[in-house]
Amino acid sequence: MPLERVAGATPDKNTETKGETSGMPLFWRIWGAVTLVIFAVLSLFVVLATMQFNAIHSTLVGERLVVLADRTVAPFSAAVRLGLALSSVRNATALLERARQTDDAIVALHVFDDVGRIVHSTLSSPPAAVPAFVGPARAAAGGDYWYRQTPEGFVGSVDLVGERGRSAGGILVVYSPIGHATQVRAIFAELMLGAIAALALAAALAAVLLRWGLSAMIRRHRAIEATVRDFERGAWRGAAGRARAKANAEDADGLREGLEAARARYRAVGRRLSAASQETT
Amino acid sequence: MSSANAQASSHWWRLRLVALLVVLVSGTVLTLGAFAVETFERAVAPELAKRTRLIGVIVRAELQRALELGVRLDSMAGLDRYLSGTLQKFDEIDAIAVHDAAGVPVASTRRSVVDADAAAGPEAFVAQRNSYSLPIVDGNRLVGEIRIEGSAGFVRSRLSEVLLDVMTIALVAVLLALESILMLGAASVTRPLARVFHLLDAQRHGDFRHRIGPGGPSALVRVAERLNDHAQDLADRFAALPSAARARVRERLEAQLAVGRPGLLRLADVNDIRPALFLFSLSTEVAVSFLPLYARSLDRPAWLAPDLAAAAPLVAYLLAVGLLTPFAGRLARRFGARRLFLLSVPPTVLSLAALAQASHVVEITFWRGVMAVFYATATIACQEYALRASADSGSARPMGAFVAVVYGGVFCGAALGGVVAGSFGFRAALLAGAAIAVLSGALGAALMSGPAGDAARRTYDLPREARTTRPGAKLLALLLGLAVPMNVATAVFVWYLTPLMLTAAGSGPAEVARVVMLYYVAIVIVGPAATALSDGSTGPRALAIGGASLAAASLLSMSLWGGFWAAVTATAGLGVGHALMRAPVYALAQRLDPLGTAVTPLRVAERFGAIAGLGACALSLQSIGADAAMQATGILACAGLLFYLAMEAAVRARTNAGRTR
Repeated sequence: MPLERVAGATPDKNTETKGETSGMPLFWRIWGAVTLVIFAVLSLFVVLATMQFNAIHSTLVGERLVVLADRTVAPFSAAVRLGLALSSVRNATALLERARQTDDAIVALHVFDDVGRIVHSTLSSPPAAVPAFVGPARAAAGGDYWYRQTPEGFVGSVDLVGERGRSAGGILVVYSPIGHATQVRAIFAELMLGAIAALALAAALAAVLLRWGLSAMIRRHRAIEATVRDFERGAWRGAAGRARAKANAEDADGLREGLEAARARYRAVGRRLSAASQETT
Repeated sequence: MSSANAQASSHWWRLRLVALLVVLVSGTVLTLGAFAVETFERAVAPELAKRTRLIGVIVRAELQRALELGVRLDSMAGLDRYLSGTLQKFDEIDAIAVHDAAGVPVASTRRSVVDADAAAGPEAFVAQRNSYSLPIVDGNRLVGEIRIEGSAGFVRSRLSEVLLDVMTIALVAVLLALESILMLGAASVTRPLARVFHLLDAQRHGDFRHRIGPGGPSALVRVAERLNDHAQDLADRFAALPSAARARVRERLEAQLAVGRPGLLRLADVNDIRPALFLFSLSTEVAVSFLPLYARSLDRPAWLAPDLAAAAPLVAYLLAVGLLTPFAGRLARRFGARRLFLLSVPPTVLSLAALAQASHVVEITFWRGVMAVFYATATIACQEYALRASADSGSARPMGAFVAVVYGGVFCGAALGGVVAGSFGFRAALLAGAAIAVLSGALGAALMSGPAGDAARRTYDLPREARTTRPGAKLLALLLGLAVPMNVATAVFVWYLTPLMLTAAGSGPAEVARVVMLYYVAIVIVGPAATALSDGSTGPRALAIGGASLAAASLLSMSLWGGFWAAVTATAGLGVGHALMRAPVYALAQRLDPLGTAVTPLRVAERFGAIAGLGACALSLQSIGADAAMQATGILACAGLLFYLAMEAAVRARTNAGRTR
């Protein structure tokens, strides 16, 4: 765009060419910053949304494990209510195995006593006791069901209520994390793809909107650029003996006047210092 | 020209850029949000189907056990009752039916249409209904089948929760984008421009003591280098003179020169506090959504009930903030706002890290209290900085920016804390908060470098003409009529009664949190507009009165209708009302006393108003009930407004009478 149209300058071939581009770096700078911010925001959104999906999906899985544990616990509860030891429940492994077969992703079902010792399990060589986090989790649940996502997988548990309402142990369902992790990764990839498409669209739209919305500001910065250039040219031409010419560009915000005044003051002070220096020598 | 012009112009372009950015970012994020919800819907469908199928398998196992004992399918006693019981236990199914081998129904149960609609929530989605038929086998014989119909409403309600979560995240993203672009815009355009104009003004008036950091568009960089060179050159030449000549020249020079290297020019702007305060506020609030749960899950003394253990950190927090507020302003002036803010960051980081490692509710309460103390010092330091950076005393802009940033940070902190804690646990969220607090300290050190961050002169050092008469009655009217009722309403209605009432009406914690967040969102959205109106032709008085009226009307509206939507409307109305009045109330206090002595009583009244209101409400709730407590809050807001208007009229009448005499 010719300079005189944006800043009221008189035509000058050299300045016109420069003037056409002088507002552009600022525009691209703002556009780059806005695109960068949108990129950062979309990346953050993808991460947060994936984490949110992780939370939702793990809740659904955990709730299902609890449903399973709740239904499996019935025969064991009956035995405990009769005052029998958990280890005395006949066909316990078969009962647990039947529950395990409802989903291939179930790694193990354990029945544990009140101190956390595993009494029955679907594993052929089960660990001696439930993991350490089970105790605090049961205490926090206060006898209610609970579920948790751990690095090793999901666990869900229901307490066995014994005599006089005291906890006699519980059932722990251990679920493979692989299916869930695959789902979460798939969601992340899908959202990332969507984000890249959205970023491309937003960047293009930003170019149009910023061009329109910030045109006045870009004009002002072009005017500042032209004023500074005009002032600098005046300075070097003046140093070569040329008389001060009329300014080419409109004085943006009184910048040229300010620059001239600051230079005049600088020169005046400088001359006084030179004089003082000569006086001393 | 001038720096005033440059400032007005940069303010204008910043507003325009922010508006464009909000449109762009919110449009993009909401589009991606809609895509995310659709993706989530597809992704959770298999898991929901597995749940429905599992219930069918469980019912079938029970029936087959009875068949193994020799009971015929059509003669099982209580089968209807068993199916009804199962249906009541699992919201995700709408109907269960048992048919014999010929397809004749043996027993069936179905959820009533009203119950199904209640479970469904708003019809935001058309969800697929899962239906399953599972064969019932007795030995080698097929004796019947179980038909299970999954609930579309259950799926729909889960998905609408996802949509709301996604929208919350989108809002967080937009707020973060807003703060980022304001910081980038300031660093790349507005600050370099303001610095150049300021130095130019100084040099044309003979002040060559300063230089500026070059930055921004190339023309500004060149101007900055030129002006810096003026100052440096004169300083070098002045330093080269013998000391006697220097003394002689100084008398005649009519200019001020630097001794040695010219000092870096420091300019303060209200927006200097934004990034640091936003992140600081965000970091301290990461725990807000889960702290009661976290506190309840840890060890506690035997005498402390779980509910009290959950509330203990909040009580400690409010008390600590309340106790420190009267002194924090004085501390900020004594040590400097910048130093006080920076000193507040390490203890906050330590508190967050200690909260993450806590194993007992007493530790949580203690560290939350410590964090509250330094939250008070940090936020008040930022507030002091903003008030001092504002060139025109009596403007609502510093307080508007402060409120918008703090509430934006609170909102983002609560939402992000919830999301991170949901995925990685409470401790991870708290440690993330500590890391963000470190970042806020770094930004504070880099950006709060203006003279507004230095220690201030004491009041008695100021020139006599700068002192004004004590604000007296008008300040009292402002405090008791507007500030105290506003903070009582926030603490009693938003923090206390709304969660209680919604929980009693069957809303879950997530739904309660969303309704409460409406209050903060309203303040963040409406706040900037209120600030602009307050500084414009509308003025702070009209806005404060309008906001107080709207807040009172919102509170009293709860007497006319009740339930979820009434709470939503009242919370949003109260948020808008408070957004209209919060910054103008500070502007009015500043106008009452430009030296700022009215600000500390205002802060103290706000904090203690909130604590007193909360205490009174908690003590009287058992005897008067939640409805009466809410009405009392509304009546207090109305009475406060009338008191303010009456006091104002009385002061005006007395002033007029004084003039005529």
